[in-house]
Amino acid sequence: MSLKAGVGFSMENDAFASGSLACQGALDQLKEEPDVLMVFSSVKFDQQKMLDGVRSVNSNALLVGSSTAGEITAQGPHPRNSVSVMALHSSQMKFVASVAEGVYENPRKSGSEVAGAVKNLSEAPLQTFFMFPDVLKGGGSQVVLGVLDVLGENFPVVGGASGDDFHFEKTYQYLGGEVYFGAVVGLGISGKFRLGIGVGHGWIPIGLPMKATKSVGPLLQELDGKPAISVYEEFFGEKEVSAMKHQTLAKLSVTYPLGIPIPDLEEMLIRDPLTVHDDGSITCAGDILEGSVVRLMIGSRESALQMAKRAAEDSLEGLDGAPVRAILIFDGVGRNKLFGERAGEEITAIQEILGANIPLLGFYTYGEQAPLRVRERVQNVEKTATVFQNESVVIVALGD
Amino acid sequence: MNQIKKTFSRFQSIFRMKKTFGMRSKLVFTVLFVALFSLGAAISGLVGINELTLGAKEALSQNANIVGRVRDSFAALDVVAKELQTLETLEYTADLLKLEISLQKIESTGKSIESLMKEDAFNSSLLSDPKTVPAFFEEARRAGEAKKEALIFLQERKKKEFAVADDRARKQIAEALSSLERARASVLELTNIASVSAEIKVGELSGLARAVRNNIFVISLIGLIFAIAMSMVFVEYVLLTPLRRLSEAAFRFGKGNLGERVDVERGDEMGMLAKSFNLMAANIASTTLALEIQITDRTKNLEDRIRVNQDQILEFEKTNQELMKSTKLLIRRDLELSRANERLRELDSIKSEFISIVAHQLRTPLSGTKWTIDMILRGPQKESLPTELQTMLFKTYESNERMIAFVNDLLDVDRIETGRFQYAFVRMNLADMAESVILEITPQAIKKNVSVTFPHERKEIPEVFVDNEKMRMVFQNLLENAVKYTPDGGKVEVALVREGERLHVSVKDSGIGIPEESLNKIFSRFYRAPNAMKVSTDGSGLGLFISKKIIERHNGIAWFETKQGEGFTFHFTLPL
Repeated sequence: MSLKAGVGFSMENDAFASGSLACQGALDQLKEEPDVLMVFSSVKFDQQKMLDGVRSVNSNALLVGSSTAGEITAQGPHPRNSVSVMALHSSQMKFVASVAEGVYENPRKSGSEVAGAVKNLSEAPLQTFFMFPDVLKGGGSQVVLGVLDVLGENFPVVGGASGDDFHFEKTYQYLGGEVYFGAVVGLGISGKFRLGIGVGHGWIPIGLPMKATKSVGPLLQELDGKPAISVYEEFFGEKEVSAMKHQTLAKLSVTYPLGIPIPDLEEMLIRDPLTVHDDGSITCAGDILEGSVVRLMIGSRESALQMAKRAAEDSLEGLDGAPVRAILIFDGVGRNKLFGERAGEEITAIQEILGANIPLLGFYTYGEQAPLRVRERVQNVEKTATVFQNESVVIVALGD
Repeated sequence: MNQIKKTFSRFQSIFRMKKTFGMRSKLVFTVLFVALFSLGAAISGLVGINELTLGAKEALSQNANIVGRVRDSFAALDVVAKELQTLETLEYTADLLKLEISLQKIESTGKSIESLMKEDAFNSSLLSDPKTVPAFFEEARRAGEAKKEALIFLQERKKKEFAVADDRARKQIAEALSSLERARASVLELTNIASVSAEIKVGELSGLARAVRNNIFVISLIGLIFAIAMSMVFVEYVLLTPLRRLSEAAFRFGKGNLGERVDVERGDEMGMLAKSFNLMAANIASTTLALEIQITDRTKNLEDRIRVNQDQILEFEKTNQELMKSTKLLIRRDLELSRANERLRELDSIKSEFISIVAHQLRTPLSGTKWTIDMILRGPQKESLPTELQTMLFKTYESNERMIAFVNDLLDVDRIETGRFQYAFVRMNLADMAESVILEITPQAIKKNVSVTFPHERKEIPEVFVDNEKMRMVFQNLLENAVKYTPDGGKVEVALVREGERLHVSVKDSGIGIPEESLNKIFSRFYRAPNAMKVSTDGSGLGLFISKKIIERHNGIAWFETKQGEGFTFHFTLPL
């Protein structure tokens, strides 16, 4: 049993205290010197103080993390603002981490930079790459592409985009004791371990299909020749949407995202609209190709739960029978809204498959990254390609 | 004239489309006719040619005669020539010539010798080579002898033979020459005669041949014209007319007159063609009619279907619109529900927070109250108080204790929900814990006359990995409930059984049970079944909630079985 994990969390009001208690809880469970600390926190806490609290307990281990829209541990989704820490120790694994800023300006470049830096730091060939990007300005797809530019198209990349407790104002990324925003933090893992990844969402299309008649990157300008926002106006009423124009569209659309059918893919790719512009165009968390078919999606607890279970099964399968030592979950923020008070059911379902007493840490994200299995029609070969999407649940199982 | 008409009509009848004659037969008739005509012309030509042949034969025999005679003349000439050759080959001539040559040589040698003998130089040369001298003189002597012999021989020959032979030869040659001359003259004559005769014959033959050629030409021309005329008639009557009729009929048919037919009574190919045409036209007409009927039917069907489809499309569009409408409604309703749910969550969160605050806030004064009453009831002041007051204080103390227990439960729930319920797992045997809790509860059980049993073999109960304090809470909750809700004389039974890789714990009572309508609520916070409320006002409705949470944290599974009035059994399993 070379890989050990411990998880701790805290809901204290004081940022420093919360950080330190969470870290202490993780270390208490780990009972070993940690190699890496994954820190996920609410933006309610002063981010720097919170990190200082974590660092006050352990300042040696590598520290990566991100602000969230809620965290998840083996107890289930936390009902209140919290700080959560997973501490990992392994004699067979090596961890390296880096950060790249400038995601708002050139997301693809930032993706390449962070992946390049992590790759350079790693002495052994990387086995997997965890990433925590800031996608508030919509660069999700591009950051992932930037990372894949360096690591290769089929490299297993997983991660979750930072959140900010559903405010959609400012999200943070952590590396070492530093707090960043508009950045992407990457954690590379090499050495001997097993990795199982599962992903799925279970959102279903509603209404008639539309076509993205005009779009540039994540900026969706027109749907069926009409300003993109008209879809939401039509379904929710202008009054509702008009209110959203002054705040963040995401608050409404996160439970009614857009879906893009992808050939050879069982489920549609989900895109969260984030902000509305005066001309009625919408900035989404990820790119929408011009000409794509676009559907309005609606959540179904049953199918979301079913897909979560399947994702868990997929991740378990990836371990090839090895026992699960740690579970990481990157759960789309809309799912938390969808499940509401029953958000715990999703986590319980996952635990039923992977084991309830396994250290588990996750958070509600503004976008998930995971390799999707695509069966190519031409060669009929199955290959995986990491994509950025929203409202999915990404389950990462780590084993020896 | 009548005869012509009759012939023509017969002729026509041959070519008319009678059943008895096929097209091929008519063609054969025509060819035969033209062939007969050509045969006549050929016969007349052959007669002419025969005459020509006879003339030619005559001329040839004349020529042969002349040639025979010429051949005879040349034979005669050959004889003459042979004779002349005989004459020329007479040997004597050669001998004569030889002799003459020998004589000339001898003469020249003698003359050379004589001239040499006259020169001095000769002697000196002889002296220089003594061997040649006798040979030379020998040669000179022989020459002289030979000369003498030759002269004698020559004289002899000249005398005896030469003259005679010469004369005979001359005569024979003269005869021969004259004979030759005659022969030549005869041949010339013969040649002339033959030439003249041949010329005459050739002239005759040419005239005859020209006549024959003219005849043949005329006859052939007539035949050709006739043949052409016949062919034209044939083509016109047999082919073109019916073809034209057929073509016109086909054209009219093609134009749409499907009733168009060709009137024919012929048995030949044309007739068959016309019949075939009629058959085809009839078939096409009937097929077309059938098709038209079919098309009409199908068109009608199609129109019906299009109408149905259009109706369906309209229906579909209408449904689509309705669907969009209901989708909008659904989404708006969903949104409302989500919002309501969100508000409920907020309220729940506020409630939790409120409970947490209240619990925390209550705990201190309750503790204070407990401490104060405890002080009074245990202190020296107790004796100075009236008994009634003491009883009241005691009841207050008990109520305060219940309050404290309730607040503790509230705080536990808050700790569980906020993750502050810290666990420390150790491996232990739950039999000890069960016994200890049973011991704690025994006074209450005795008070209610409820028997609590725990039949077990300690060594058969495997150890499990538990948090001692939390698991104790579970046993306390379950046993307290069991005793509380079991009437006088009832019984409570605790069991710990190994089931594979898990430990199965059950607490069974013979109490009031739980009504069906409450079954899905008993694990909710603050829920108490109506029948339970009747039995005891005491209870927070948090015990089972807390127990379940603790069991789940141990990776355990909790459930129950009950029937109102027939007891309640709580089960849970824990991994070994």
